[in-house]
Amino acid sequence: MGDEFGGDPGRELIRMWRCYKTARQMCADRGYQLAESELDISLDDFRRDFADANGYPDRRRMNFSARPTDEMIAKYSDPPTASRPNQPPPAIGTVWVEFNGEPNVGIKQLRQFIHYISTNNFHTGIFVTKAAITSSALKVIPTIAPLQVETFLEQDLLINITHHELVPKHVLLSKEEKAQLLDRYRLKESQLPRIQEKDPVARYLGLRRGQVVKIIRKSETAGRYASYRWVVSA
Amino acid sequence: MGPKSILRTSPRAADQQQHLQELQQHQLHQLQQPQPFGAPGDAAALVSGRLPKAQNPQHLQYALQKARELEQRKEIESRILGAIETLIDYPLIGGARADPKQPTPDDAASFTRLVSLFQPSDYDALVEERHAAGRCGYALCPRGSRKLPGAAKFRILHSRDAFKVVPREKLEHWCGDDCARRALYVKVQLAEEPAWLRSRDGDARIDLLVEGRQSNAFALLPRLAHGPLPADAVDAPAADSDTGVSEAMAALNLEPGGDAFGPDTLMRDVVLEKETTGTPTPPSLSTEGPDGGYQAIEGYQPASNS
Ligand SMILES: [Zn+2]
Repeated sequence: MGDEFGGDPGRELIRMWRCYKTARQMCADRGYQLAESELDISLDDFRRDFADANGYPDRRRMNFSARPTDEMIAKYSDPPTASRPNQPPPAIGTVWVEFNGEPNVGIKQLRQFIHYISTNNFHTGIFVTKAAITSSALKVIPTIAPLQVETFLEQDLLINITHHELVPKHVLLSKEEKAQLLDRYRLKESQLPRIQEKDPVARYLGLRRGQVVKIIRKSETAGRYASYRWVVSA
Repeated sequence: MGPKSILRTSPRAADQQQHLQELQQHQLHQLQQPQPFGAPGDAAALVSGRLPKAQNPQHLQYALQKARELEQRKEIESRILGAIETLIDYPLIGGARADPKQPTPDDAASFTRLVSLFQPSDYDALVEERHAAGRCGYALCPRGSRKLPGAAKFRILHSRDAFKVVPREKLEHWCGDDCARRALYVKVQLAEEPAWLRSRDGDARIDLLVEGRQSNAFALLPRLAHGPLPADAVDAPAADSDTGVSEAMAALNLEPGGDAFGPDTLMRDVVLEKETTGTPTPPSLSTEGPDGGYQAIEGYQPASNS
């Protein structure tokens, strides 16, 4: 499989090692349960665990799932109110991350992925593909709600963009924090500056339309300061 | 009587105005309900933003009209996506023995019906999906797509006095040149205009390139309802549409240029097929043609240079 379009096994392995690390870090940064030791695996350990007999990465072995931390669940839950004693379930659950190395990824492959996450009761699926997903397959994704499917190119995960010094820290506000913020400044959410759902950092954090994210910048003159963005789609 | 009557009637007028707005909002709400595809509530959001300003019932009518168009567009886009997904698994009948040269009437009829909604770009999307599924891009062909030897990203196609460079992937979309030709034959018949803007009774007719039983020549097969026809059937209009066509021809002949846009004729949508004078030869991926076809756009030769 690998030699057909992979080229040098060593290079391919390093690529996937970097992808894998970014994917794990991305899940941890979103608030899924992953141990610190799982976020920065060494190349040797990666080779031992995920290389096939020819030295190529075996993507099927790289797939993983992770459960949300209590903190993450709280962020995705509606704050309790007197009028609604029975809260709806949190809008988050176990995530499934799958790596696909096929030369073409279309509706067929995406449907298989969707089938897998729905039969295994995953809440969110992250589909990391070597090839660009066809435009028709991307149109299928909004039709399968409430299942959440996000797609990333391997290429996009070679580096962790949030580790770049020019990218400020983005922190998702819980619904309660968002309400407090709007209340404190007497704002409507639509009066906040905006961030696109498809912004690279928004994609990294899996932000959804309607959420508010706090952006913390460092300033030489003012120490640290925060700004807020309202997540919009298109 | 005068001032009082004004006082009495004006609140009523205001009531009516408000009632009208409530009614419209209710209709908008109903419009919002069917959401087969896409982000929920977009249509209503689009309109509700304008609602407070739209005091004039005409503006509301316009907004409602736009909302309806948007819903219709979403509905059709969702049907097109469904059609693409359905056609990945074609042909349905005959399994591996299905013959793209002579498709079964059922498969051919449903295929042409499904693609009649398409724009050429949707058709490209179908070819792309079938390729991703490892199948020949022509939906009536059961074979796999071909793999060209070597690793070069581009291929050079030669003819007598010209050549063109073609991305390797484009050639690998088909099991062979015949299917590329058959697929292109369908594509060039698709309307560039999106289906939600087409006239409703403009019944798009898609013909297939099939091989007749009697001869080896390619023949047109109108609608494909009755199985393959011999090549000479091309010149005669299909029996079921015969009367419709002659009526339309008569209507066209009666109209002098000046009156063509009169109130009676404005809504009449007549498609006049070109007369077929011989066996049609479809555009192809190969480099046939007087100047090697290298300037061809979607199989058509630009007229200016010849
Ligand atoms: Zn074929």
